[in-house]
Amino acid sequence: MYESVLRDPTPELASLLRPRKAPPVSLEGKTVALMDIAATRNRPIPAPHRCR
Amino acid sequence: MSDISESKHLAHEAMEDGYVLFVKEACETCAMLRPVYQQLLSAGLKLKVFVQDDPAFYEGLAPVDDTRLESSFRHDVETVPTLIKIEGGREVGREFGWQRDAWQALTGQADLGASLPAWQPGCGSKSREPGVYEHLVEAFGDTGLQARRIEVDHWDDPVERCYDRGWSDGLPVVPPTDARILRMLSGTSRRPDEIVGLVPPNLAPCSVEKVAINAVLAGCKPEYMPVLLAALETALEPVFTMHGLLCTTCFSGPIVVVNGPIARRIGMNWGINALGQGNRANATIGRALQLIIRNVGGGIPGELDRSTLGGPGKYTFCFAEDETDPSWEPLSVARGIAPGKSAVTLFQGDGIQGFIDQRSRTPEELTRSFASALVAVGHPKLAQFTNAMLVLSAEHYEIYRNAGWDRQRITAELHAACVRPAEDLVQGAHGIGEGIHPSRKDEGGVPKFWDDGLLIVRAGGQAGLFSAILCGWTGGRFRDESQPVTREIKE
Repeated sequence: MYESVLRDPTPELASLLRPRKAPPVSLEGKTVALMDIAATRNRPIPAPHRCR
Repeated sequence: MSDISESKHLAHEAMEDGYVLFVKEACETCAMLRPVYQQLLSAGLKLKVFVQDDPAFYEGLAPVDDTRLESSFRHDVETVPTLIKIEGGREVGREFGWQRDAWQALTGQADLGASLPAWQPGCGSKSREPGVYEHLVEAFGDTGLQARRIEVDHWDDPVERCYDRGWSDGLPVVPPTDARILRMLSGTSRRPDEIVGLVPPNLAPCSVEKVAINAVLAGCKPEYMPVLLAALETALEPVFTMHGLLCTTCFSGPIVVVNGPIARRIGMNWGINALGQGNRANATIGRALQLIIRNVGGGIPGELDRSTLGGPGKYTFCFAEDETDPSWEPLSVARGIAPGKSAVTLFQGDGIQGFIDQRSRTPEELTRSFASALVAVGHPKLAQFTNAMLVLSAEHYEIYRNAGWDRQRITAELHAACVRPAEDLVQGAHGIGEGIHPSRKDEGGVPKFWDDGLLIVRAGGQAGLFSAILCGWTGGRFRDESQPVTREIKE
């Protein structure tokens, strides 16, 4: 196994993993699909996300 | 490493009242004291024995396996044996090595090890062995590092991930792990969060920590850090015009010349193949500087680095001056640094123009010969347009030294020999468009370089009548705005 954590040599200081924001209340209970206009035809379509 | 990493999240044992003892099998003193440990246990002391290497050796003492060194690290053990007394959950006393009186005082037991010598020093703790401590800080301590963490899958090759992220100059880099960065930071007394300066072209702030990370990538050793930090600070001086040097369409990059005792101490090369490959300090200090410009400053070829052709010197170009002849004034001293001090000189230059003269035997002959090559720097018809660095080899220097010519004399004679008639240099003369401005045609003799525009450095192997000319960057034509810079190295 290799080393698993490296440090960024660029001036970027912000964490790579930013905390997720809660979805807007207005979306509660609704099904949301993300459309990726860059997706190629043969790439699997991501499953819809059900907001809690 | 994986074993240490796995234990990272284990809660450290609470400090129970009693005694903790750190030993290793490989320590003669630790082994000699086995009857003493037994004595303490027999007396009813609550004693926990942590063994750093081979717990089986201390069978019978209910040893705790500390081969991961976590407990040794958390108790900051520097020497074995170390005996620590804990009361109320905190340390109240500590002894290391063997001193009967002190151990008796700490344990309240009389006649400890009566048949043993009264005193015997211990050995270094495994947790303090070179290369180990930084791993323990990474695994169990607070590294204090600010740079963001990049997590890589255990099965992913980190060298390839460094390529993917654009951190490389094209050659493989050393993955910047916390342990390696901490070790690199041990090479300087400067605080990791100190900002060294704003690195062009993006004028991004660069901390000492970021310098260390890029030094790891480049393959530096910790002892190179003072040279690298000085080189970076020199590059960031406005008059060095690092921004222009990076963005130029020319071939140039920073050439680093190191003077003084640090060059010898860190094993730099000024001898055979000094301008070539094969020496770690030469290779990695110059490379680290370039990686900082790339990774921190954003100077990426094809983006803001617009060099038409570039040059191999843009990977790295760093060497030391040969100061073995005490009669030779080092470059740094000639440029205002006190004798005996270490210094870096940064010169904006291209690759190497080889100079061969195996026939000249007098200093006058050799000077005329050098001048015939130096006038070609940049272009034979350009004058006071670029600087140049002459790397004088041992055998060529010998001709000057035998004639009693020192740095000042050689420099003055070369300047004089490089003066040429203006009418030969003006644009269009001799059917060549390039040249000095036509308005200068009546100036008479035109010097090739400004008075401070020819730098001479001694380097190279003892054999070979070959020297080198390093052509300066065209930005040198703005004499007041772009100049080589020399700076003392602070350790």
